[in-house]
Amino acid sequence: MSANAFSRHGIAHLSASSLNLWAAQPALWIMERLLGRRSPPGITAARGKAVEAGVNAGLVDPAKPVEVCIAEAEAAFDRETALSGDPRRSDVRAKLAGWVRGALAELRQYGPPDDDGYQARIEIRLDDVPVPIIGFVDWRFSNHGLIVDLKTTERFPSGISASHGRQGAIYAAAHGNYGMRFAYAKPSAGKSEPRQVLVLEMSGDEVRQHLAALRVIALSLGRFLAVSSDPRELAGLIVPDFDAFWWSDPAVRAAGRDVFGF
Amino acid sequence: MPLAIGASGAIKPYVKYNSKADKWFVRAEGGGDQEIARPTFLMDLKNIRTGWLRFLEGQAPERVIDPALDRVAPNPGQGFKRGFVVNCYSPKFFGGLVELASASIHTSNAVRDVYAVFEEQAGAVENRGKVPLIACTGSEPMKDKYGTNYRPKLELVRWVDRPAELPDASPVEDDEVWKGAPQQSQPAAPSHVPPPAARPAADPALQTDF
Repeated sequence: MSANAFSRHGIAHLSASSLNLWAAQPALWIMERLLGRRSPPGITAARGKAVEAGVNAGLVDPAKPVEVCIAEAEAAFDRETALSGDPRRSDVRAKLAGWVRGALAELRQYGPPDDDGYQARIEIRLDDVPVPIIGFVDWRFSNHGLIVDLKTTERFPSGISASHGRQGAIYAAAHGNYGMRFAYAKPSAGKSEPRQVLVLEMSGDEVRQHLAALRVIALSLGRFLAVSSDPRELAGLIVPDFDAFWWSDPAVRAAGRDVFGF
Repeated sequence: MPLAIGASGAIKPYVKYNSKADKWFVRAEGGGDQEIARPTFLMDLKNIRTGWLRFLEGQAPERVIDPALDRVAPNPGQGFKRGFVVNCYSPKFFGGLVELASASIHTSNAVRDVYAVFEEQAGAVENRGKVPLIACTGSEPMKDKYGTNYRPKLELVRWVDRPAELPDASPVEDDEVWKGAPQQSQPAAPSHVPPPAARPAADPALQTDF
């Protein structure tokens, strides 16, 4: 595949989130990634980033009191959501302490992560895909040969989802023999489930399967982009599913109406 | 596009260990087996596959590969034994890339043990992206009801960069992998992976270069 399909649209690299979005909601991908109509990060993304910041503070400095880490998470959340009108904002903020406390209790048992392991940029190549796939790992624990990605959640998943699996496969592929783990943290333990953090590890076969899927998805995107160098023309080839939760934010829905005409 | 039917006539290069004779063989250029010395070689343990193998005299080997190392395919029938398939590489001993597949209990035990060492060391940062160099340093006679057989002594000598000739890929074809229905009717609940134990300091003997 020629690099032109991507470069003609100014795409120098892909990522798990980009390919997952293309796979799930191609219309939203076109709107955000080609037409530049990106919506501000939602409250869930802000929550994840804030908890991650607080947990990282406590991992890098194992002696740092948990309350200080929580304060750092809250400060990060406040910065991130300063202009957010989301009605869930105060509820989510109140739960940050629980997420940070639970995740730290679990992940401090791993010891400190690598000095350069937090949000380290990684890059891999997929066969026949002319642009690299990049990502940023949460933490790398080289002492244990592990990559760990933190996910904040309200309830534990029944397994590693395909979208998380693809993200993890990219991280794992960039790190040779490292194990890839996802730590799913809840704000508090449940009545029937005393655990607050569930850690799941990807198998080598899962990594391979997701990499194969990523390649197929990236090739599909490349073929689509090759159809035209006009993003508007490409947008005219796809019909959005506005019932999907991706479009639930009124601002996103309004932009969708503007781009797709209904 | 060629039709994927009929016989290709191509035989994948192989290495095998005869546990009755304690001898290693590769495929000779004109066909048949050619004995070689105890080899030192790269073994792609990262991509090893396990499964059910059946070797019958005068017939092509049959194999039903497990969907994953932790998911065993059901026994396909009489004569099948548990075994493994792994790619190995040595220009000196094997003439390049070859496949080692065996259902011998003694060879499998030897590979299982060296795999345990591989797993232990695979996560170390200095081994990232590398493959283990394995040496057959001897053998152990094993007496059982079939007489004396030999178990090769396989040692993980050190880790080296993966050569281009040894691709980071599965040694088996997709159509060899068992794809039947899962044995359980409901997916198992995901199980929590506990934090890792503290790692001991690296053994300097393992760093020896020879």
